[in-house]
Amino acid sequence: MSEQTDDETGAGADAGARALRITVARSGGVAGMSPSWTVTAEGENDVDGWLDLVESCPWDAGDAGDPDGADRIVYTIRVLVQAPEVEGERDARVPEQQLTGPWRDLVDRVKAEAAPRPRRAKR
Amino acid sequence: MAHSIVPPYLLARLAETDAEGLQRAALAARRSLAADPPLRAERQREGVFVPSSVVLDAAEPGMASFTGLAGVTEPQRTISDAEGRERLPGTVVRRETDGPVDDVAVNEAYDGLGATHALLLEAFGRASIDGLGLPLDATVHYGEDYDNAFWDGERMVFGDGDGEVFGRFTASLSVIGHELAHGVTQYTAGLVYEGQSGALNESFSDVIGALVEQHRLGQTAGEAGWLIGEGLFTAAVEGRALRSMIEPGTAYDDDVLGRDPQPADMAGYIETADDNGGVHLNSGIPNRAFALAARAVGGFAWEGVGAVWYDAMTGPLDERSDFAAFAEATLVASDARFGAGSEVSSAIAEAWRTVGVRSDERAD
Repeated sequence: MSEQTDDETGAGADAGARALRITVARSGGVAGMSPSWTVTAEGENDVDGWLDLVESCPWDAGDAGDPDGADRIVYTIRVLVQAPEVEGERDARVPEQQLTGPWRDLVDRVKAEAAPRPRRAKR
Repeated sequence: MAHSIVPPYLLARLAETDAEGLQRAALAARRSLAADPPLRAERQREGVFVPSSVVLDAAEPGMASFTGLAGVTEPQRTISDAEGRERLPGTVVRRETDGPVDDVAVNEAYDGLGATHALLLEAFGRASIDGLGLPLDATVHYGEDYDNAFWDGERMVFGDGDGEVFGRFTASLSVIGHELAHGVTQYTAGLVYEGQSGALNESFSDVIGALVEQHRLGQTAGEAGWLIGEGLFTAAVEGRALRSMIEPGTAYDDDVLGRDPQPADMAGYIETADDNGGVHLNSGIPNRAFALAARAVGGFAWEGVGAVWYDAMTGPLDERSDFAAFAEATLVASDARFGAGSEVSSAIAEAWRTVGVRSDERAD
């Protein structure tokens, strides 16, 4: 059902189908690394399962701004949906201090279900 | 070398003086009186009113020497345990003068804060983060599989890592020094955490992180590895550390993490909206300038180029300074401390040219 992809949407390929793609990107942090996780869903049951979670997030709450201090993590969440009853694209920037409730549930589920990139044997 | 903290009435007197030989002290005093940041507000400590003040480096020619406020030069560390939750401050598990506890992260945080406090005091005459002996508060075991350490404006916070890519973040002394140094920047230059000023903020934290390790180990600039976050990666990761100050872009090259993206000079400067404008990326440029200059000078880096960087950060530096402005500030500070045309000033000027921040000889 889900996989980690860089460029494939998995959504919108068929105009009549229900499909969804969610990308969570992390930036900031003392390590300065920017990992990202992507899941795609197709079919009514899969898409609706994700949409319930997506719709529960406070997308209209506005940007909370940058937190105090330094080396804090910020999540960027992007959802692409192909379904008759919802708009096609949503974006949010969520500092880790605001990553609670449904935001936290969404990010945790995307990270858990995005397949990890395989690590080759050490050279 | 004697260092001290100056009460405000003496600051005011110094600020008014134009007497030859006291001009630099007067400048420092005026800076302190004019640039009192919100978090350097007067504090009540142990029932004694402690006014805002400034540390003067008595080793510098023309700088006054004072003594006062006994006790504030000793670290006041408190380590708390978040017990896997993302809630601060957590439960206090070790206070100052307590012995080691049965928790390596707690002891590493305690010792790391002590080592950073020692560097600031012994090398720069600075009593803690604010120069007034501010207590050093830290929290360990923050969150679950938490791959980060941060400064929240009041305390240092350390995660345990996910165990796959990162181990616990207290394992690196340079990272502990890095986080504490964000506090120093907050109380001094206040560099805005965005774009080039943010990258300078990050870079100064890396500088202090590297110097803490070198100071602890008694390493010269030539002996040092100039790595930030060495020992944080698990054995599965192809990498030495989070960053290399002497060779930005070479710290790791891993299947999962990718390659260290830090640029080594202005030709590679990264424009991005993420990471507050790439503050952890473009910091590689001033990082390399510092490491190159320190290696060129040789000896203990905190005595030469490190002291200059500290002077620049505590001098009249705009909070939105870009790389060029900071480079100029380091050259002014170096000339003041070591003399125009000195080996240190020449090495710093050459380093900024090498990384592409300065292209011409400075007009004197």
